[in-house]
Amino acid sequence: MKIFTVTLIACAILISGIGILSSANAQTETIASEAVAKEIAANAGGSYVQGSAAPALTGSQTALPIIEEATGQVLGHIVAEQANLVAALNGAGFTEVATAMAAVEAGTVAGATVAAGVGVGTTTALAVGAAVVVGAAVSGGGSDSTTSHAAASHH
Amino acid sequence: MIKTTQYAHSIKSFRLSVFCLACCLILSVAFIQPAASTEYSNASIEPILDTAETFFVLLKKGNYSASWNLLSAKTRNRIVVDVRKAYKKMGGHLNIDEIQNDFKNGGNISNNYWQAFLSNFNPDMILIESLWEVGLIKETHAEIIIRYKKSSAPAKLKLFKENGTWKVGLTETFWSRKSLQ
Repeated sequence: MKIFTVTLIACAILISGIGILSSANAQTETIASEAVAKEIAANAGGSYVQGSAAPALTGSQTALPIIEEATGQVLGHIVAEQANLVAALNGAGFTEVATAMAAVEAGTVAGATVAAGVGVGTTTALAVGAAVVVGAAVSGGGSDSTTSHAAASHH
Repeated sequence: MIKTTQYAHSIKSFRLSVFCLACCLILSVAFIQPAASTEYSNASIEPILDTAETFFVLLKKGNYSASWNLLSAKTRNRIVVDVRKAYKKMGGHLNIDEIQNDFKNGGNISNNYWQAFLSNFNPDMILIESLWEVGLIKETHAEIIIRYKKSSAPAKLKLFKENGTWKVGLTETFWSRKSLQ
């Protein structure tokens, strides 16, 4: 049986309605095999979706890519409700991945808010812009999220 | 007759003198005041602009711990709270001090936060694609008016003087109605 090292890229995660975020300097945590990823998915009450294609998400689901360390190839995704996935990751000792997910969510909304503020100005339309940003950030998946995620690259 | 004429002439001269004196006073005030305010602006504006520009440049370069130090205390506190709330929403718990130290030292939370931030906001929008104008300048707070090329309304970037140095009020500028749900 082939044994390989897979890597959870801390910030290479998918959040429904927002998009893929990636970084060359991401904090990574390593697991021994895909079997561990499947176990985490099961513990989180979710599923492990094999393949590199970004899965469709619903509600507050999150998809966490599992990447083969040697090749950088995405092997699959752990798909689960955010809170359950965080609990499962923490339970398995992957605390940095879990906190990274929160940081990514907060940073995403913050960046979009600043972009909106610069784009429309802060003198009159900020309230509307901010509301749109927050609404987009918490909107459910299953819309066009798959298409938008597939277009981005991550490692 | 001569005395009356002389008296009338004196009154006329006196009025003329008063008039000239008043004109001189008005002119001197008109010239002095702008010079004084220009001198104040020139002395104050450089560090304000420098702080704002440096913050976005450092962010762009990925020097997150250095850029963190250029943020106002209120902005730093708000970002920390936002991250804590996001993690709480996910069912986790993070200590405020832990988050603060992470941002200060450019740790895991900091890297992921700012990388996600930069995935959604390009600093070049402000650094290259906007016109900067000096707005309000007071002793402890200032505003830089940023006119993005594609925007019809400006953004007023707020800065605050804390412990003698200017800091960027990112959340004070942009977070007025934003909140994580």
